[in-house]
Amino acid sequence: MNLLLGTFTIGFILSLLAAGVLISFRIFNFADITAEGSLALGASTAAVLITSGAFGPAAALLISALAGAAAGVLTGVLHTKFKINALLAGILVMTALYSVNLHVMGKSNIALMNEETVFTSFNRLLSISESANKTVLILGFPASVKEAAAAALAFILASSGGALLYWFLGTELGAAMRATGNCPQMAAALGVNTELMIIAGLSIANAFAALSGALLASYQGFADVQMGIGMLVWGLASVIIGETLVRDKSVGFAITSAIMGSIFFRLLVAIALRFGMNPNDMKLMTALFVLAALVLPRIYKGGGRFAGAAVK
Amino acid sequence: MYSPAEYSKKIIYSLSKLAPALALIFCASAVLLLFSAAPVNRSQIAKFAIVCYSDTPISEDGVRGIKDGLKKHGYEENRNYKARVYSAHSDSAALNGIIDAVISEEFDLIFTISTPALQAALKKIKKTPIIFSSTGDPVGAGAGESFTRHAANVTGICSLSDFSGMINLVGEIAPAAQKIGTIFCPSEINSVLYKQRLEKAALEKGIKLEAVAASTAGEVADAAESLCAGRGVEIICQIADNLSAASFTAIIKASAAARIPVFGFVGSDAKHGAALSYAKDYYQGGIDSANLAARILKGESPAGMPFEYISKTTLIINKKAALSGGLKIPESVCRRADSIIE
Repeated sequence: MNLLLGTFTIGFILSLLAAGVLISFRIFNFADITAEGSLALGASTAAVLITSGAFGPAAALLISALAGAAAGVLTGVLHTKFKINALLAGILVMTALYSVNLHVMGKSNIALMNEETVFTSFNRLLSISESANKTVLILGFPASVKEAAAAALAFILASSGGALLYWFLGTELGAAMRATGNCPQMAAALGVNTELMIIAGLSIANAFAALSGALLASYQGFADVQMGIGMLVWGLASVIIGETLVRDKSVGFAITSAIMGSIFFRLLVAIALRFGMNPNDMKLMTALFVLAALVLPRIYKGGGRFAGAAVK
Repeated sequence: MYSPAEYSKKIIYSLSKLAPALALIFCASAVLLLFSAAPVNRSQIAKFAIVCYSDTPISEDGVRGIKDGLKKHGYEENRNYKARVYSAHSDSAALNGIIDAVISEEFDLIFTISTPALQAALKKIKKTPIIFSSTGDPVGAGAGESFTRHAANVTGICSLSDFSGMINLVGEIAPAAQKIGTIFCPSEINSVLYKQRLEKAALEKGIKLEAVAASTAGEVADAAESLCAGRGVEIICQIADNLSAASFTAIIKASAAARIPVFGFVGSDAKHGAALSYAKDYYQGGIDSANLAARILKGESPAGMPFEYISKTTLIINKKAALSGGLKIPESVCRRADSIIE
């Protein structure tokens, strides 16, 4: 049960990253690589703030998200004001963030072994002791109370993040943002400041990525400057797996499917790990699982069309 | 807004849309749950997990060392113990999954190789003994306050290089040397630590260290050129980190062109064109951690076992490389060498 709970926790934490990727990839139609840098930026900022003790863990998360937002603004400005290709703008900011993260932490790795994080605060809120390793039965399976609490907190954070994004994309500003992504000329003709929309959208996307990184660092007990590497690919995979499974591109479904995609992807990784195969084959196995999960339903249904259209 | 009938229609529509995804998540969870809840094989045979963060020669040497070391204590794989090797392939999220999988398997002992693997294990595993290796700074990684006061279920082998030993070699071979150089990687915590330790050891002998940073494999060649050009570096003492280990030939190329000899902290350096290597033997590090494991298996508590350094440093001399760098290795040093490449 603990394995399952841990998988769900990581899945929910990384679903915030998937939500960020959803904005850049599905609204603005490009994969914003800044996310890899801002995930590590969020983790390093949170780690430094938490170890400094000057801020509470929740404040540390918020400030990390703001730091990510700033990184997104930078990418947006490079792209819109200086007309740099969106992919390249992302690559540039991601590269720069690597050094920034090293400066933020002052070294490449910060341990958060016994510090107060949102997870320990949440445990205190529920009066769960950190030292005693109590177990409860969930569906008849024994599970550690701490792991269950962590999964619950990750679920709460991911769903409130998703709800917040849903609400925002329904506001006038959010609608203008989606219009900008769908048809910039039309949006501009209607008086929308499209450049501002792109900048704002990328800043929100990277705030989500940074929040995800800050949570990951809090959960796993350390922030490492290399922890963002490869994460964009996982985020993209979650978004695409999610929309393949859900097949409704309206805003609410798109966000829900990104979260579900992230969970499902992490479950497949966990199964591949648990099978205990040769470690060199693990990534191959993960890829095959994802492939099977995407293809099997289609064979079963007798073929459906996969349309990668923008969020409507 | 909506009438109750319309609401229920909407809910039914949502559920029908989400059903396939929910069903798949449910199935995957069930598979995982049944797998991890299956009664663990409580046989007489001991079970060890070996967790690596990345795939490097250093971790491969470590794994080999652990298995060979266990053999010396009478533990033969698949006969009286089972070992499972995990690698996160440098993916932080997968590392957490590995630790969860390790916990659900109820191993008797967990070996970690590299700093992130140790940290992820420390956070979640509080009872099962953890034995780390390939960790340069276990205290900085959060394993304890000092080498003797540490988390109760943790002990291990610290892989810090022998910096003063290396500086002594520099003094013996090139007594007039004033300035040595190295390339370091600011993003690897071990690399930065090693650079500082080398600098300190060098300063004690009045030698200055010139360090150039490189963050990606592509930058190593440029950093090496810059180190060799006009900085007055007489010997390159290359510290051991993942980055320089992966692109060591780039350093050798630049230094050979400038006729500056290279001393390496990695065992294979001399074979690859360094004048000498003075290396902590990561294979020996594996054997050392197997020795700790044997004590724990006999009933000793890891709480009372201080962290140790890798017990063996190997000196390998490459005479040809030394000569082309303008160095003559004194006979006294050659006699101490574990092996000499002519």
